[in-house]
Amino acid sequence: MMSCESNRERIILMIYGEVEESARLDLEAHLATCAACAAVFEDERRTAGILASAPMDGPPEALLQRCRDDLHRALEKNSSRGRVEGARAGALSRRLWWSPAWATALLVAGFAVGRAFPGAGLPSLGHRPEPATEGAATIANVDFHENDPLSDRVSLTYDTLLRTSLSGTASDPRIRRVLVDTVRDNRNAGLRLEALDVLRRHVDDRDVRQALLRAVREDENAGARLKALEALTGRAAGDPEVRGAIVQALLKDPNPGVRVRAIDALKDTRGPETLAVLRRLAEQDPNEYVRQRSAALVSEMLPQGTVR
Amino acid sequence: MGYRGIVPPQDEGGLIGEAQRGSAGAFEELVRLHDREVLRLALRMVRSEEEARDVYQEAFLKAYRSIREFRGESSFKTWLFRIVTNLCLDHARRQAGRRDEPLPAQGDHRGDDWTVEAARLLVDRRPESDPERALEATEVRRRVEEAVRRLPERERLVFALRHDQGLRLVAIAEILDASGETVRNCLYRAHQRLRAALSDLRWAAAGAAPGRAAPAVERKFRAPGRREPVNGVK
Repeated sequence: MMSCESNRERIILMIYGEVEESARLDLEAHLATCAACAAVFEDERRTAGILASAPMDGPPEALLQRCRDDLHRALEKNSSRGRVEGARAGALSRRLWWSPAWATALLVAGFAVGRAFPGAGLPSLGHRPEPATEGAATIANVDFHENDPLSDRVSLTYDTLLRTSLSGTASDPRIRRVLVDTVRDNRNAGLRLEALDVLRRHVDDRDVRQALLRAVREDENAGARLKALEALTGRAAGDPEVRGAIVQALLKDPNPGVRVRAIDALKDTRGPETLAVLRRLAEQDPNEYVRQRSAALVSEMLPQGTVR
Repeated sequence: MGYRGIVPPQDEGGLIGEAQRGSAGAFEELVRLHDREVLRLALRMVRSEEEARDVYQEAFLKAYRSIREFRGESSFKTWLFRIVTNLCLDHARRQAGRRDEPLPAQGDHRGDDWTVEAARLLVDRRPESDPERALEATEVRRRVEEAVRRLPERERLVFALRHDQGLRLVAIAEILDASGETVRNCLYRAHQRLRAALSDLRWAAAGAAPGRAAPAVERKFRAPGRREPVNGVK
């Protein structure tokens, strides 16, 4: 015999499909004869219905992409550090007395000897080094893997930074690449703004568009966000991702000027959904001008009969 | 690395093996099999997108560093979610300790929830989308999310794993390294709190649209193998 008092938990678990078959059959039989428990069941089912009618959305694609990019970079850093540290640990076990200062001194001496006696090689390596590939590049982040002062044998890794010039239009993929990287990663806001000025005519390119979307969402400089928003405006009607970024700017950007431009960018995306967002903004934006601008666009949209 | 988009899709077991032999590329492929759900759980459990990004990164880096310890005694997803849930609980507890950062107020239209919903509304251009109904649904969703956010962290976690991720309680118990009884109690308590928080919506649903919520319940919560709705209570 079931106690009605103890049934509530079982009822909830049954709604979640988490009771054993035999217990479920018992409970169903009880519910068929007990009005009080049947009412509890109905009530709990209604709660579950509300919860089921409001499922949590999947994460925003842009956020997921940012997470993947961050992780990719972290894994790259992690694995390259792992390689260097692994090699370094091996070298240390072979040469415990080795010190970076000693290594640096040897390296500098080696370069000096190399320059003073260009014909002299490193016999133990069996071939001449190939300095030509480095040209006039700046050398940075030197890591030593192996060193043997007795034989002059050295194994190391370093980064090169080579200044290069390019000229042409942004239709050249190499130039576009540099500009996209500048918008995305350069810490100098002035350079980002210059790059945005050029890229605004190339929004058909996917990489450019992604860089502009990212600038709208994340650039810390309001001028850069504004420029990126302007560049994307023409695509708002046809591209859901662009519309999403504009709405995000509309609702989240701390700069009222950017929000006003976002309102203007939505002019061509007339429709009930745009209207709903603008109405909300007209009532709730903290900036009066933004509220007025939204209200003006709402009233401009209504008489045209596009949203009723 | 440069693995992305080059290597054809592989089975999870193969990717795990390669990742255990040190392939970061294979690991990234593995990440893509599960990261959407990881991020969704993190968003449910922490306060902001930034913190969810932190949880995502910490979880996968931790998984990457310790993948050699994965012995296949549970599914990879269970193993991964064990890492993720621990991090989520750590973050949630840290949040709870910060008294100076109150939960976002109800109706804060500049919060992430509204932004996401507004973006969804704009993107959804189907003719049947009705702004009034959509805003109504937005309100219900906001209330539910708010109520879930106010659950104690462990109950919130169990609720999220059951409701958002669709995991059975036995799998949740394995992830949380807890007894079935504990997990059942957590789900029961979470449901009761949500019931109390959403009581006005519950009565509105009962009065306005008889039977409208029930099919959703049946679809979402019907037990596997169950044939018909419960006798006598329709």
